[in-house]
Amino acid sequence: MTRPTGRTLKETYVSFGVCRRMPRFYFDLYNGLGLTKDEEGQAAPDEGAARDLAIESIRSLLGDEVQGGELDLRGRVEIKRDTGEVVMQVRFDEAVSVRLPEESRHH
Amino acid sequence: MRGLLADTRSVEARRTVIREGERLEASTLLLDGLMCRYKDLRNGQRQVTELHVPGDFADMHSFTLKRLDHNVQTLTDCVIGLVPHERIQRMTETHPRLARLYWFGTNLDAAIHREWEVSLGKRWAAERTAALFCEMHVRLGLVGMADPDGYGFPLTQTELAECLGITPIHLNRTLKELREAGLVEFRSRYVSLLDLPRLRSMADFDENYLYLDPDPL
Repeated sequence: MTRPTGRTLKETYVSFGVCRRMPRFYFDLYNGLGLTKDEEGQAAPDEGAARDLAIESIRSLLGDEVQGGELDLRGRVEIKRDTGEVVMQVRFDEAVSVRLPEESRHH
Repeated sequence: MRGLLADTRSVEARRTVIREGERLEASTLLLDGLMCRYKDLRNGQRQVTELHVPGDFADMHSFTLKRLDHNVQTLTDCVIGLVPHERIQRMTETHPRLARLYWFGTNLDAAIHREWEVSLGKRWAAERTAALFCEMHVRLGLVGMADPDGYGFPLTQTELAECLGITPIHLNRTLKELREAGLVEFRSRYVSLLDLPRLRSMADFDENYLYLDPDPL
């Protein structure tokens, strides 16, 4: 799978060098179920790679939900550093491009 | 059985002990700890294809295949035993019953793989997660590592997500769903089975594929 930046995760890791210790990011999820707090976090080379992880996860979540016959794009992922500092937010609708038929736009 | 072991050794957690493609002259028996089989993808992700509990051979199949199409890694600190293929060869000639037991073991691996295939192809994330928790409850219970209402399961969420083919963030949301439905809780590396009958039912889990009561071999 090609990630949103066009680089694979492995290429991203390699471009940073394997010896460098990667920072940890925490991905708190806000959606219909309320807040799902990330206690464990994931290592990623930089903020761009962390954003890619968020986007990939949103797509995976939405895909599972669509199989149940529902699509709710109102959620977001808040990415934090281990200091608690919020790095960025990724809205669900930023993770997919949505095209609707003409007539449904008026509903 | 003990006579088959050429060597036992301790291996730290998260070490790849067998790499895909390398020539193998011995099979690895897990004596203590948890291990997994996994495949690396070119984009840096990986899929875990099976978990191993003490008593499992991580690669009895390497006896006939001589190399693996996957890697084997320790998930916790482990004690492993190495069984040289030449000893297995001799054992198949002198102890045919033991040979049949090993054949049973590889057939059981195949049955577990089929169940994971069904999970990855047909179960939704929550059902898939529930099915894995049910499987590990049975398998760890067989080796005395589970209680009726829970068991220690020292995987990170990332590793568990790699078993389930979803991302850790998706898993985290799925775990919240399962917890709030009062079915199961995975916290501090412990699985608490809050309502096992309902968990089994929502996962469509049928332990028949684990062949708990095989015919005498």
